[in-house]
Amino acid sequence: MPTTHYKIVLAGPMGAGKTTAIRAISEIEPIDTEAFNTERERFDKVGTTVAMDYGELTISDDEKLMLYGAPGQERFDFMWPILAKGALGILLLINNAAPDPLDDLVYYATRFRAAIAQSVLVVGVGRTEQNATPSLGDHADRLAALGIFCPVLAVDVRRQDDVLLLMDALLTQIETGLEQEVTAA
Amino acid sequence: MNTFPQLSETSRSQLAAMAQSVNGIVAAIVATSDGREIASLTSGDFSIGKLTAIASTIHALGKAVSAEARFAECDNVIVESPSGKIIFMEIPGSRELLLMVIAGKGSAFGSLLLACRTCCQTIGATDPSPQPRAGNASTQTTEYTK
Repeated sequence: MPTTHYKIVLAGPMGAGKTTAIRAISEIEPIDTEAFNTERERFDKVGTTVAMDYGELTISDDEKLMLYGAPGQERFDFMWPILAKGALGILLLINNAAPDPLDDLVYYATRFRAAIAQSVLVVGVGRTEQNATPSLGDHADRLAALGIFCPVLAVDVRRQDDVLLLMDALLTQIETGLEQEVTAA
Repeated sequence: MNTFPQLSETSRSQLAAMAQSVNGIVAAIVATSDGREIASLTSGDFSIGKLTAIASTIHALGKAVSAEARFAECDNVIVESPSGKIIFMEIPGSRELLLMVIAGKGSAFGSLLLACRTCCQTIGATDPSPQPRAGNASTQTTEYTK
């Protein structure tokens, strides 16, 4: 039975693929809280997460990821600090097909700033094959302007391997951070 | 754009009738399940937008925990506090609507619950569409004093 649990929070705008990403890698049937989306003129999807998603992934004999998906729409921002509390890693998903992906990046990186300061961040940018700009470098530059330096990777959230790669990047950073804390102590 | 004009008006009048029938109601909201206001009544200084979003979240969590508990459905979620009670109730029908009612400690729980159910059934009975509709929900807020 895993004895170490890593709480990971998936954040980002509506339609970035947080629910899909959790569904792609969770070993349990995920808990989702999707409601009928009444804003189809703004977001062309049937359902929208209104509370959270939850999934789990065992990564070794004694380590398990607890995956929490945050609702993307701003009116549910009261859930963001609740879900982010105690998180060891934040995975920020950005949809490169959105009208202004860099604005989305800055908005969510800023709103999750407190949680990021207490954990580690990895950014996954989706739909880059059809939308090459802004580039991953553009995203990294915009984060650097905020004083945030972290891996920025392209992702197709429907692909399990892609999402697992993002989790690997997060875990590497988390473990490096833990080692640094041990060394510092 | 008012996508639900009749629903909004019906909801507003039913909320008013409910507030008149039970003591202690300080806020009542009819909302879509994704957290948008259809109609509301309030006698206090509340952020209706924020309460509407929270109502959607609480109700969704109620459904999620009910499903995990192998319950068939989640009709309502009730918060009890020394300061009063908050009821989140699903409105029957295809439109995926919710009722949220905040009542002070002066309200009788049984009467409050009955009034909420009556309100939900009345609004649900007006459901004209077989499927939930997309588009902008209209919003109306009315101040009232008991």
